[in-house]
Amino acid sequence: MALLWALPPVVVFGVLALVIPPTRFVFVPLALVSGVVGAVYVLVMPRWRYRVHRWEVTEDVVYARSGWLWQKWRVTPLSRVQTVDSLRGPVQQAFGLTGVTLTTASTAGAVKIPGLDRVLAERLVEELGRAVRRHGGDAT
Amino acid sequence: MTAWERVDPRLVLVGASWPVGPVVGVVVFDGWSLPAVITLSSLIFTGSVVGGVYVLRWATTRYRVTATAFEVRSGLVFRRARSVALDRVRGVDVSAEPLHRLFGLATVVVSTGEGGLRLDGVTRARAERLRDRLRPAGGEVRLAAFDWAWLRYGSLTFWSVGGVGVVMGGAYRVLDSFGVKPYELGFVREVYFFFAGLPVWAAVGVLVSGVVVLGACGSTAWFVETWWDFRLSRSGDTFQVRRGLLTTRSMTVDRARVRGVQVTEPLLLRPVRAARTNAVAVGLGTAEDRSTAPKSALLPPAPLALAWHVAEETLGAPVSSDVSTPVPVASDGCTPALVALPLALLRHPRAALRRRLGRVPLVVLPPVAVVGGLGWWLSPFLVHIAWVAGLMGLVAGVWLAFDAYRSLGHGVDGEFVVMRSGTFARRTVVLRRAGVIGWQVSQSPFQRRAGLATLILATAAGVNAYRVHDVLVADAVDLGRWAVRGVQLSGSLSGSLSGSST
Repeated sequence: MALLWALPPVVVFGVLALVIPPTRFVFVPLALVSGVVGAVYVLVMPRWRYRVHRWEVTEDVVYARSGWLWQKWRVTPLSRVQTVDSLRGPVQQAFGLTGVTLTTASTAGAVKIPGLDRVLAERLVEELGRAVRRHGGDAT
Repeated sequence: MTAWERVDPRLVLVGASWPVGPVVGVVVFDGWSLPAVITLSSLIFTGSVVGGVYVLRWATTRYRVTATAFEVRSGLVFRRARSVALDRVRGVDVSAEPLHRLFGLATVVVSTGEGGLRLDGVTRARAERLRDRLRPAGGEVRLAAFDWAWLRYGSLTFWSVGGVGVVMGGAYRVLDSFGVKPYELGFVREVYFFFAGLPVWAAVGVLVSGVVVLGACGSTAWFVETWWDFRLSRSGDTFQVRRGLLTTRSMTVDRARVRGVQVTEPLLLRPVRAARTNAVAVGLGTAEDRSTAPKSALLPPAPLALAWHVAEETLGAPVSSDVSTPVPVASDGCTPALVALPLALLRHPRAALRRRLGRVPLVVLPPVAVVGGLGWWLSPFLVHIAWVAGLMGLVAGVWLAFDAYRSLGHGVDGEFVVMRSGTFARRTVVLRRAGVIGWQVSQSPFQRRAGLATLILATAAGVNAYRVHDVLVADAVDLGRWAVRGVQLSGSLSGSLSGSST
């Protein structure tokens, strides 16, 4: 995933440098800088995120922790959850992963749990759906 | 009232009457020439097309109130039938634009959580009756009414100065579009030469005071237009705000939809101890968004004590003056007294002040560096401007940082979470615990180093997210936990944030 963000600038600057020789003095350093920044990003970000990301569902509350430099820790009671969605992007699909999103009546209350194992995610969605129905109410 | 009813035929006049002004204008200024005739005929043609649309609208719109719902049918080609269940009605808003008022008409907007149902062009009396039907009223209690003494607050708004610029720019554009070059007008030239003859300091002084006076006049006029004949009343659990000079508006909100209140004290209004009150209610606009801000307004800028009185009435509970008790607090019966001001809240750690001070050079220095750099390149005059402005900016910034830190505070009171922040507009939000849907602790790298975090309380009302800025991580977790009742966290969970230094 990180590669998707890190690679394009390097490639673009590299191609520009190759295609338009007079501009090389600008684009070669740019390509190098973006390459170094991108490499650090690719090496650091996923590990850091992996260490930060946690989630847990208890009897009546779901919580998820995410981020790396900026970190977030969300707690939402199941009684306030309105919908339980799962989403698989093309990259997530390639790795057999699924993201689960719980939405509430507040735009600020959604809880996202990205990058779960597919089978686990399916089971989680089912369980959460049942728990949400059990709580009922209009959840505002 | 179960038979289908039509809207008032005068609606057609409202729709078709807008070309009257331009037509008169053209006749008066241009007389009868070929271009004038062409303009006139196109105006009349457009007017009649619009009029025709309104005739269709009048002919096809039907509405009724049944025992359970409010229904509106409209449209000829695309027939729309919409209905709102009466128990879903969250507010009834009766408004009248100037043209509507001229013909004695009003627009009724019935709002639900998701959207609204709009009925344009019923008579004022019918609109009032509809509102009463949709929102049955009991005995009405007057909570606040317009007071001319508040007028002095009207002039003390920040954007009054910016407003002058906007108006001048607009006037210039209008004149320009008529082919009038403002600088060729004798009057403007005289003003220009008058300024050119003055010493620099006098010219700047006259200009600044002129803009300030104009701005104050403008915002006072705006204040009068918006809040003319303001009344806030309560009947049972329903609150109603009526106001407006040219456009009269009326807003109704049920206490069951109220999740909290916000009391805002803008910087200029703080010395005169004034504030305005907004409701944090489901389905009502937010206090932040300018376009919807007036919608949730319960009170114009008014004396602070009244602002809090209205806030307490809206919440249906007194807010005790001292909410500086740490979490958790026993929810004992609060004394039904007015808030003693200033509100005592828990202070935030000193690290929060350091964060605010740290931002000052980040805001002040870049522009100073740019101007200074240009000056070094072009003229020493700019360098002097840069360092003087930089020094003034730093002093003002440090003062603002201290003020922002003083504003920070939070606390809990019975069933409410109280949080305060902001310097240009100091906002105190009182949020009902039952209205909090979830919470979120967020930490930037800088906050992590200072051991601070921001707690975000999510609710379905207002701006949806209310923040407690820069508190200790443990306090943020405690407050969040307290706000969302009955949430048990396993030990590993509570520990995982506090104990993290990743």
